[in-house]
Amino acid sequence: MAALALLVPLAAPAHAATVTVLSLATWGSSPAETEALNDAIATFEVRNPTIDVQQVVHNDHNAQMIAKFASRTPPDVFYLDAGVAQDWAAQGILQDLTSYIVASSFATKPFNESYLAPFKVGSALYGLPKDANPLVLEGNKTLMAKAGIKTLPTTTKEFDAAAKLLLKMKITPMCVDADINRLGAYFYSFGGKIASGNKSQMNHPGTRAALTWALTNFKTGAFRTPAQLSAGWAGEAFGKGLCAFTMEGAWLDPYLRDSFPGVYSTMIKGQLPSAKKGGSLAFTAAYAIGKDSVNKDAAWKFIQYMTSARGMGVWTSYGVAIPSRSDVATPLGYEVNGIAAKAKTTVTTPSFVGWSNVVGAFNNEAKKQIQDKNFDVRKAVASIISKTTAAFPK
Amino acid sequence: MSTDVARPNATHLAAKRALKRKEAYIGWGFIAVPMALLLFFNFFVFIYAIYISTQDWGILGSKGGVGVENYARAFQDPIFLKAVRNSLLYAAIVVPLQTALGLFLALLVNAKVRGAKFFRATFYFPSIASSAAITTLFIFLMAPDGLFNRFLSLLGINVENLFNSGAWLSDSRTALYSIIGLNAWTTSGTMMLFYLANLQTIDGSFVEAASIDGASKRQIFWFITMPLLKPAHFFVITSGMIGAVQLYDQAILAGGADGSPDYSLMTMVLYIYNLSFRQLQFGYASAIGVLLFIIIFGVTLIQRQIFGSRAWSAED
Repeated sequence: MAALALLVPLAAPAHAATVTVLSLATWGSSPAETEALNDAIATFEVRNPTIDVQQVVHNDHNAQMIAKFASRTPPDVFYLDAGVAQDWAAQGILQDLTSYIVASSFATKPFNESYLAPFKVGSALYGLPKDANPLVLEGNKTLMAKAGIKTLPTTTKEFDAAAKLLLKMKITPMCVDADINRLGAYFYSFGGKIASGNKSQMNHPGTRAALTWALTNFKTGAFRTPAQLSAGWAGEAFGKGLCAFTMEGAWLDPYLRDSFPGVYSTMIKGQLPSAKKGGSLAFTAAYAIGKDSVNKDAAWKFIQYMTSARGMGVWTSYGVAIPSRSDVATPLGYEVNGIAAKAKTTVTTPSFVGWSNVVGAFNNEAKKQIQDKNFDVRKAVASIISKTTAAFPK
Repeated sequence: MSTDVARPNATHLAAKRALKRKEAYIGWGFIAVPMALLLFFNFFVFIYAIYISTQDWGILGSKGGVGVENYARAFQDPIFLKAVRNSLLYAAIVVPLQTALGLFLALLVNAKVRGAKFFRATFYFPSIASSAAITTLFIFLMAPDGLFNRFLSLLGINVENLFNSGAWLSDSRTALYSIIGLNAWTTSGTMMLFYLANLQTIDGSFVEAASIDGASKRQIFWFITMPLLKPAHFFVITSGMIGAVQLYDQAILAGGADGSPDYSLMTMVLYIYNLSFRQLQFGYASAIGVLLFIIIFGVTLIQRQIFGSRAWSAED
């Protein structure tokens, strides 16, 4: 007994494994997204009982992350938006994941290459995409029926014809913001593009044609911005039945289901109208580690799981985002989004140092040009191209 | 004998000196901590900001000195110049508006009328409401289908035919003026309080004497009340100007971080935020911060000159 009593205190530390508290910083999200993330984290913790994930939700994620980087206390893992990845990488604050990927033989091949691209700088990889979200066309069947439209337009010509019918019925055809992250999708379907690397392609004939088409639609009223419809964003205008179509990603579905179930039940989805070819823009975000993060090994274990087929399967099964891996099934009800995500004509938004300047320049000028109902489309296109081109890195 | 007299004097003087020294030490002791904090948070931070403005400063610190390049760049940056123009235009309109409105409200509630306390509280309410909440409310009020446009429709105005189609905050021609209207309304309550405090210190005998001399109410207001409100004029206009040039929250809520559309809501402080937290150009942002300080300091000095001159003196 005495020997046993002596053994117990000696044996106890061997059983009590040290728990690593892993800080995870994310941006705020919908209840559906929160539920999906909590579930994915729970499945990770079951497999890794020595890691306790503590989530920190940032209201202004990028600004709060920058403050934490500056004080050299970044969280262990965090969401990294593709739009800022190159800017942040250039600051030397992100951890290159290559050595972790090689050491654990983690395969990056199943990832759609275009979703990895925003996080690559040379041979370094600063994040693994947690999901993808391409723009698709959403239609309100009830409003479409009022104008005698049975199916979603698949080409820009079909869209123009549908818009005429809807306008006759005094229904706004499409609610879309004058934003390069929306209208840019048409640059590709008209054969143009936004940028090649960090060089402007705003002068490309395809880009010019797409802009001319989009601005003509703003002039005729076929396109209206959320502000023109007194809505905070296009999804809200669509949910309120203020427009027949909109072009958003998978994030629209849970929002409509919760806030506008009536419209959600009549919503149909399809690919964005094609011009010369199909085309869409996709958004992605990655899990990343800071150079000054404390628990890097535990952080890598977390990333490895969350971006594996199993972890991504749990996260995307809720339908808030589409898998960025080709070996994870698209959730039910999101088949259209899944097809767009895998399409070769779908491209991620450009990512280079100074991209936010380009977005700001385009959006400011486009909104200015369309505010006057009698604007000259040719002059407006020229002005938007000129101002946006000037904002590209010199 | 003389030494007997001198001795107590010398001791007394030495004791007095020691006491003075002790008092001085205690005095310095009392102000040491606040002085150190003041020096650190005001003086050192300001000097450090000037230093950062001469550097190519990233998230992790300096990447090298650039001299006055950040300052030279500012004067060729069209967005910065637009931000300066917007900030000054905003200040030039909102300060007289909020001052006039504040004075008018103060005169109203200072009058011995029934319900003066109720009106005083009512006029002050917008000033204590959160600016984020009140701006959000304002965005709804000014939306194309908002209450303001419905009111215009009641007056027989076809909002759709207006040059901005009733989109007051999303049209670059009306966005800044809409924010001016909002802030003139929300800040006038605070200005009213400052004027009210000053109004209540005015000796009634001045007004009484003027009345006996046959001065009309208008003459009493312009030649008695207005000059005696000089301290309030200076405080209201100076603090109003400093606050106005630093416009930020209403601008970002209504126009986003880009002050959209057409940078019509881009202000100097919003641009500093944009440069720091979106473009990661902390050195350039600091240079603009220093320029903002120079503008505020310069305007305040001018105001001091104006209000310090004899032309505004109450004694005249």
